Amino acid sequence: MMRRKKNWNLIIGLSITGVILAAAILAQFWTPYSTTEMDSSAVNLAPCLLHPMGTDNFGRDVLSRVMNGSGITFLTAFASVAIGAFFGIILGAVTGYYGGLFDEAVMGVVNMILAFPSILLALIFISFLGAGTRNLIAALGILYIPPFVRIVRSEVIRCRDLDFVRSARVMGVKPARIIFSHILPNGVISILSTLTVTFNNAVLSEAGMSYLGLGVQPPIPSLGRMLSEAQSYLSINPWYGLFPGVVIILIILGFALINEGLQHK
Amino acid sequence: MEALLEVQNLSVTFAEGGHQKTAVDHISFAVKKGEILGVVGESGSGKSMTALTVMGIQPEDAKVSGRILFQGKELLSLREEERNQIRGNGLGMVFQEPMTSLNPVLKVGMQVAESLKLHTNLSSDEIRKRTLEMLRRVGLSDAEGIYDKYPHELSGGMRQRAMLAMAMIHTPSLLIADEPTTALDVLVQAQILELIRTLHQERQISVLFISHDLKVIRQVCDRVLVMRGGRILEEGTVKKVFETPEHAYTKKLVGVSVERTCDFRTERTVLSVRNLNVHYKNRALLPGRNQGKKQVLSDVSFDVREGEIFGIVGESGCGKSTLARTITGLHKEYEGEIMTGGETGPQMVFQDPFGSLNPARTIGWILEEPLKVRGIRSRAERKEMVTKMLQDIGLDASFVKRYPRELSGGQRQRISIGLALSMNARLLIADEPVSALDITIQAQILELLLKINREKKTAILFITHDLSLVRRICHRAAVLYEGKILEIGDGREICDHPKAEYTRRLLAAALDENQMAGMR
Repeated sequence: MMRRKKNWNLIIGLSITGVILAAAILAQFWTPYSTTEMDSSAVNLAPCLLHPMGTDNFGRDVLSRVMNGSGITFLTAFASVAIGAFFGIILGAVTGYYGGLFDEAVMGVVNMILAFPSILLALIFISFLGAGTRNLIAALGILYIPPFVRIVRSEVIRCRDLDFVRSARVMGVKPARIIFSHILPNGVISILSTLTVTFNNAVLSEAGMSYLGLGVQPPIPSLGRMLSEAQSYLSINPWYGLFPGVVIILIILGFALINEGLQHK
Repeated sequence: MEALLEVQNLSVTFAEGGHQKTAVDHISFAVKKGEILGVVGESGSGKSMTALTVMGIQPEDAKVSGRILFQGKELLSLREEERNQIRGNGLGMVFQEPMTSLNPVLKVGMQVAESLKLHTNLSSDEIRKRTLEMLRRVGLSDAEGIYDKYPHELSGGMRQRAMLAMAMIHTPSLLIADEPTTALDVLVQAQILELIRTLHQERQISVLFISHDLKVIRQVCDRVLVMRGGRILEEGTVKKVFETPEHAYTKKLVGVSVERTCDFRTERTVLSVRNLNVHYKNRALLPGRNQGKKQVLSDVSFDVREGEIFGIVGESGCGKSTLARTITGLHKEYEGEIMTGGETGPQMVFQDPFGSLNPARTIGWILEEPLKVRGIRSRAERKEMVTKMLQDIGLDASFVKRYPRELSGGQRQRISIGLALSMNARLLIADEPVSALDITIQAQILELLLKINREKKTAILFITHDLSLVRRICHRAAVLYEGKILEIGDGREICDHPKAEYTRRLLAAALDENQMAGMR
């Protein structure tokens, strides 16, 4: 018998993501301090026993805000990726299976969107829709449709003329079922890896947009927002910027490792 | 006769997941001067690995032990340069796949000339002259034209001729041919075999001829080795091995002959094709230009009755696969009439058992699918029917949880047949259902098809390139050539008294068929 090597990428990636996600969920019910309550007697503190990550310029507990903020980051990323995946998979499946004029039209738009830097497009969307978490989710969601269209479409085209699909067609299986039950399970790995990559992009975009003040609005904590606020106090209180930054890195690292782990499964 | 090549106690093993996998297991044999030695065996028998090791091009991770003596020199202990010398001067090899064994970016002439450039001091004019001569010798009469062509501009048969020219150009003393005709059509196959025989006689070249095809071995070789699981089971003259086989496996291999014994045909028609015309449109590059048409099937008409096995015979490109696709409704643009009886349309069994099952699903799921299509709601009922079906096709219930990749070719083909049966079809279209399988497995699958025909009265449209199968299995058959039916009639009659010239040629190419039949 061959012993299977342990998939360390997957294990470590899942643990990092799991811990952060658990903390973020916990924050919905309990945080060490209130995320918005200010304490003028404890401004810009370095990490100490009472405040493990220190406090910010208003005396708010950074740990509580990081916990809560990562939840919002997760939520924004998750929601926008879900929108992208939902529409992207359907569009990719239909265009790939049927081809023709509709396919050409959709791929035209998709390639156009992919030709622009996504952050630039997000900025344009936001400037039309206005700042705010919901608009950010909508803008990112639209931007994440193209990668899914591409990956699913190519998978469907690859399988479309294989004998097992022909066999299903001869049997009289309905097209929708052929696409979603027969073809798509063959593309699970590539769809999963697109999910993780896009999720990471979404985390970075959310942080970036909030940093620019276009995403999550104060006083709601967000990792990107906290980074931007910490910038002004970098010389007085370097700890403030450090922790939100590290958490962003950890979220990205976690998902990158999961992605890597899935590739070699 | 003196031995040209002597293999002594040769073993080839691979390390695989901590233990040793043996591909070739302590075999010894000799190729005498001027003989053609056949090596016959099914996939995994170690026959190709033996050939590669003799050539010195076995995979990097292979561990080789034993001795290989070529013209008295021990090859395994030689340094790489010395081996190269011998490869260049004494040995030549032809591979199975003419598509991939020629370099696609180099002109054919250059590739044929290569070994003259490497191993002789001839002037480039002389090299060109000899190359052209060789190309003509292997039957490529337009040698000048071929010289400057790229492999993709040549047909499969022409490529294999070019490969032969490449292997023969420096007149090797030993030619190793590894399934040289397996990828070719019957008629082309016969020509290439003839060519190998003539070259052998003309130049006194010894040949190590590897094939899974008994008919080919029988036609070409003087002596034969039967290999299985890396071992040599039997060795002897072709006559002896084929007529009085000693080993049980050889007996099975030689004696494999499935024959239809009964006839349950009724008058009911399950398929009626009338004046079927199919053409593909050639896409014009510029709009407005006249779009060309390529006629694939012209005026095809025939009927298949209930319980009948109807053969469609022809070479690749004759339109037989298009016919199958049109009847099953995969190809929708046609003129003419196709009528299929019964509520469920004809079902299909495909040629390649590795493409016809969904790799992402379990066998249980795959077999349940037709039942879902038929509207059987109860899960328990479906599961029960799947188990029953597995039994019918000769497999057990443990297959439900397995994935297609865990199955052998024969097992997959059984599942494919089971799938078609689950639809309760009155007509099964089998497109070369056994041509991708090993010979003993072929027999099992044919048995299964006959059993289904016997027990369920399912009609079978049996598409094949092999006339001997038609003779043994089909009630009636049609010969298809360039999209037209040349003749149609009783399966045995077509083979014994062919009317069309083309059928006669096909039959002649089906090698020693009468001899084989007489032997049984």
